[in-house]
Amino acid sequence: MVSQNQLFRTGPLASVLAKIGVAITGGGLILFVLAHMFGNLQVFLGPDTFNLYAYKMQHMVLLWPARIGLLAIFVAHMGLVFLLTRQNSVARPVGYASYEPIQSTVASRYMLQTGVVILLFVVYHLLHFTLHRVHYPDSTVGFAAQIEYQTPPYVGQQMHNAYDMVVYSFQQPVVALVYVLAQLFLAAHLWHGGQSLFQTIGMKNENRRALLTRVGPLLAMVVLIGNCSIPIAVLLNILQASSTA
Amino acid sequence: MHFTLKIWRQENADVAGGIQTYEVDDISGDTSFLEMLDILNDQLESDGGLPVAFDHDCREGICGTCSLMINGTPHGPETTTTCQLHMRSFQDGDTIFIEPWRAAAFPVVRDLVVDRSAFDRIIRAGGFVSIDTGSAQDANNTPIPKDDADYAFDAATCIGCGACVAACKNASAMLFVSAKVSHLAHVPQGDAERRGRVLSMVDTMDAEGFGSCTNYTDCEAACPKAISTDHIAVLNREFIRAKIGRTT
Amino acid sequence: MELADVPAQPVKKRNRMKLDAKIPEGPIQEKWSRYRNKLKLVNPSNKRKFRVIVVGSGLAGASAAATMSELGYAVDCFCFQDSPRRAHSIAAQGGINAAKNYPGDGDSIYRLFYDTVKGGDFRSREANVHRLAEVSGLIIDQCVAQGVPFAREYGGLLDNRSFGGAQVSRTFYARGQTGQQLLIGAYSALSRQVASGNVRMFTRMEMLDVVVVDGRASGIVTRNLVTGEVESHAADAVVLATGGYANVFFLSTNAMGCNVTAAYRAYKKGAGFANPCFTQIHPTCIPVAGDHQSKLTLMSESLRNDGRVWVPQQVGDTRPPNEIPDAERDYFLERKYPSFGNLTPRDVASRSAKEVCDEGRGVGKTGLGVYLDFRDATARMGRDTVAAKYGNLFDMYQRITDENPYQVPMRIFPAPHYTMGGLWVDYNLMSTVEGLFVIGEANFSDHGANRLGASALMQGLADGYFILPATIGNYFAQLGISHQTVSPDHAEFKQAEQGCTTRLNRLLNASGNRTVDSFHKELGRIMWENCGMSRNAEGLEKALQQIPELREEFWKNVKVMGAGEELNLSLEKAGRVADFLEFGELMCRDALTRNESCGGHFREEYQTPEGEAVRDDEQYCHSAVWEYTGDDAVPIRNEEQLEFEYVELALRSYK
Ligand SMILES: Cc1cc2nc3c(=O)[nH]c(=O)nc-3n(C[C@H](O)[C@H](O)[C@H](O)COP(=O)(O)OP(=O)(O)OC[C@H]3O[C@@H](n4cnc5c(N)ncnc54)[C@H](O)[C@@H]3O)c2cc1C
Ligand code: HEM
Ligand code: SF4
Ligand code: FES
Repeated sequence: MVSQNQLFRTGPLASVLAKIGVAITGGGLILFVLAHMFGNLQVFLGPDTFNLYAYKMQHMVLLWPARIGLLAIFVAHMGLVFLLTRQNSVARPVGYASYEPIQSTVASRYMLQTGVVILLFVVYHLLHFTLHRVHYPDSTVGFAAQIEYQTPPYVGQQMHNAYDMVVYSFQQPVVALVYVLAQLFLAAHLWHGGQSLFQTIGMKNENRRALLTRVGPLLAMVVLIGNCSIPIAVLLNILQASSTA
Repeated sequence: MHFTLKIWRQENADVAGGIQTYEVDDISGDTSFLEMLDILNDQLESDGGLPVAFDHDCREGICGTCSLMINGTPHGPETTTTCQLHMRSFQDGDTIFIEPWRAAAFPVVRDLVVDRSAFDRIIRAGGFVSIDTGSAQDANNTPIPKDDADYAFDAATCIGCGACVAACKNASAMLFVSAKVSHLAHVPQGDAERRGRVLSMVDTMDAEGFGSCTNYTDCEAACPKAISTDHIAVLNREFIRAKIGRTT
Repeated sequence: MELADVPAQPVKKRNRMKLDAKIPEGPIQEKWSRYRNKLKLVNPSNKRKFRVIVVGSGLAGASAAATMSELGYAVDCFCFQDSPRRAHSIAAQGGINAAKNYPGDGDSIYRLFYDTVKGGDFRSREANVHRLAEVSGLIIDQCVAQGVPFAREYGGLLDNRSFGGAQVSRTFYARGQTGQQLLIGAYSALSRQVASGNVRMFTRMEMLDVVVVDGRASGIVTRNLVTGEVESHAADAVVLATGGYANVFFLSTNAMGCNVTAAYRAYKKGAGFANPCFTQIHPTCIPVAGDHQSKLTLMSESLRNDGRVWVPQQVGDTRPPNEIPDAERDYFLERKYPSFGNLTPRDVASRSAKEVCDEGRGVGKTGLGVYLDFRDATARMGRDTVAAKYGNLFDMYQRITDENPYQVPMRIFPAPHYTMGGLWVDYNLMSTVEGLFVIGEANFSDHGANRLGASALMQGLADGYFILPATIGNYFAQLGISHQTVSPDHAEFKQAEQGCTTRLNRLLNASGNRTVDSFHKELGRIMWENCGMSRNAEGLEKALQQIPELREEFWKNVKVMGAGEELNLSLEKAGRVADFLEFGELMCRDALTRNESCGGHFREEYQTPEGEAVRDDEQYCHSAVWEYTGDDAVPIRNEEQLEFEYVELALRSYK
């Protein structure tokens, strides 16, 4: 007779574990995406509020730890996705001549593609707004300069005019278009990911399933509308620069 | 009715295969899909050709032997097994693609026959309760809430056909594995070994070369026994519990 | 009792075989427990030195293989399916009996014993049946411990139902999938043993011969169904758990692969074949729809608990069923058997259905069908309750027939379903060949001439979990630890391999122009017409003429495509049909020489004027055990006399 331990074999990194990792990191990224979005939506509250928000973010004590943490989550997400994708890519060496998905959503079947677009976009986004390497409005113009803050209690504080940077950036149709398109891909990713993660961490069951499954599309729409509202508002002249170029 | 059949033919695991086209005529709607293939085989044999090999046994939808990817959907257009599918589900003149289950873990043996022994090895990894014959207590000593028993039953109806794997874009076996894990997680008899069971079965599933789960849910739609992907959530829960739960 | 005119049949009475049933001494309630205490045991550390081959992984085979492995024996298990989980047992729907008396309705071991002996029309061995009833409860305990999800009540305890005409509720069930759940349980136990390394599982392997060396079963010859290789496997004992042979009728409720090959080859190697004519025709199957049909589908017998069986009173009444008023319907089971009504045992219900169809009152396109009507049940319980109880069966019916049973009555007709006959075994479940054990449906079983519903699962698991593992130890102990396993290179193995290969080549080289199926269908027709629900001497004699002719044509004119060294489904089928073509003859011979009507064996010559079966206890209170004497020779009919000490031989009446 064989003991229990000999009967049951367990390896180090099971697909299920990797997938739970994807879900947790994906969930973290969702929280970031939401926070990021709500932060940015302050642009509708006027230059002062927005610039102060940007200023505070810039001067957060834990700015670098947060950035590194976020990067780690992002990289972990991709790393685990890489493992799973590799596993999947060899799981069906010969394909079907005729194959009809039955009830899976398009979004779910294109997670990798939407994810890769998100990655490319993130790179672009960083080059653009953080590192100011592409499509960055000419730095000699006034809006990029430091401005003096007008509202108490920060009156007189020198700040970066992030508000105008956003507005002037999105006034370039290419930039607005890139951002809007990217949001479509992000929304597709969240359409599936935003509900799939509940399944992965075992939260779904017969009763909760219907509700939790709606979270993905809801998140996707919120993020899509929220994030796209800014470039669109700029293009429609609803948001206008506070200084002139 | 008349049908044009596009069937995967492959002599054995070591040679390449391909799609061949056949015609069958005079098929009544009451003919089952496999009986339609019987008729084709009769026709082929009479003409001195080799019959198409396909797996089947009970023809009652319970043994899980029959397979077949029919027009890109496992077991064809209805929620049932291929053997319980009838030709009335098709239109006269239809062209029907018939292919084997496709997965690295299910190598083709011949034509439409694949080797599903990977499923057996997964069950061997933990799909049981370790109880020797004769050592059981009276059956009614442990009442089980009816709802739990019914839920366990829903999972236990899996016939091990492999349609879930065939349907999944990743060729993942999660629905099959979760059905067994969930069955035994919902009866008290399965309790003692639940940690080892889920970890070991998942491990074997990976080792057999199945894909991972992206929660597409095509598996549950293809499953002739309508096993719900809720059981996959149960598996995930069991897995997390096993990983971070108490060891002793 | 008046008898119809009876032509005399010569009965060869000659006991050449040693038919010692080895029934232990003592009162029937104590036989098994006393006997078990006396069985010789094998020292635990020596058990692994004994290798046992189990052919079959159905309920009987899987449970036996798992249990013997748990005990420490080395087990090799074989099945022809791609997985042990797919054995035909999976298809059983209704349930499994056990004398637990949980509902407190007066059941007991004695009552289950009594019902089984009576239900079997007094053609089974009392001691075996009592033992079966004794261990029935343990089976439920074991299965529940494995996690089998039997139906439960709201209090969490196991639910029971009345089944197949029993007057107590002793049937445990798992929706309409009891066989599946039990088999998955046995399969999981087997899987655990395979994982432990004690069981070697061989799938897609067909047994083609038993090898007997010095009078002892020493192994088997198999064909690997994927590679076509013919191989030998040696062991110290061989267990056949290869199921029943109802597919001799071509159309039956059995799975397509069910066959008589293993049992028949064992018969040819000296194992006595008992009562082959005892076959069960199940009353509730979906009628045949057309020529294309490859098998018949059983609708669970539980339907008869609430459905009412009827046909129109008038011959040729073609009105749709719902337009026929009650006064013009003939609820023939209720009329003929007022106390059992729609729940009369299978053989009686089947025959009654055949009678009304013979009178021309059958329904459906073919006139071979009777209605099973839920109109009244729906009115009484409501559609929802009917759906909850029978929904999955209704769905299955609708899928197959394209008719909605909630709206129009189902049509049912009897179909071959189970075979009570099988290889003769003694109390130890050993056949007439030393070391060759036979369990499950493959043996001639405890069901006599008719099996009660939900008793086959019970018997298969009783044999596999509890009886064989105990008795086989005794055999091994007698062999002793100095016993040497025969080598698979032994001349007997080589010769058997050679025989199998030659036969396969003969099939492949026949190069005729008729498909295997066409022969099988023709044989099926002969069997169904002459050795089916009712038989008579004239028909049987005709069949005994036709079958050898058909067999001859088969070997000349069969067409088997493909080669031997590959997966070749036609070749597999051809081999099985070749055996059926010999076996069918044995069945007819048995039916012809049993000049009485009992259980599933209804001889038209032996009936009362009202058409009730007439048993002949004077002459036929025995099991007929056939002994092979050569391919062209007439086999010898041996007899095992049956004694009834505890159940009085009585007329089986369900009026
Ligand atoms: C539709 C249907 C419903 C039924 N419902 C019930 C019910 O409700 N209750 C009840 O008690 N009984 C029922 N029965 C009867 C019962 O299911 C069977 O009698 C029982 O399951 C037989 O079990 P077994 O283990 O003896 O054989 P099987 O389950 O038939 O197993 C035979 C095994 O032998 C193997 N085998 C056969 N030949 C060979 C060979 N030549 N070489 C290698 N392997 C071989 C097969 O692979 C298989 O593994 C039903 C039967 C049918 C057809
Ligand atoms: C803002 C960025 C991102 C967010 C919010 C996000 C979120 C998520 C979420 C929630 C999931 C679902 C996890 C689950 O099913 O349990 C997921 C899955 C996935 N993500 Fe992302 N993701 C992001 C970026 C990326 C990137 C950059 C890639 C690829 C390079 C990527 C590739 C994938 C893939 C392929 C899956 C599916 C994994 C699987 O189930 O097989 N994601 N993501
Ligand atoms: S889960 Fe469904 S599809 Fe998958 S093997 Fe089981 S029955 Fe088949
Ligand atoms: S042949 Fe058994 S499920 Fe289809």
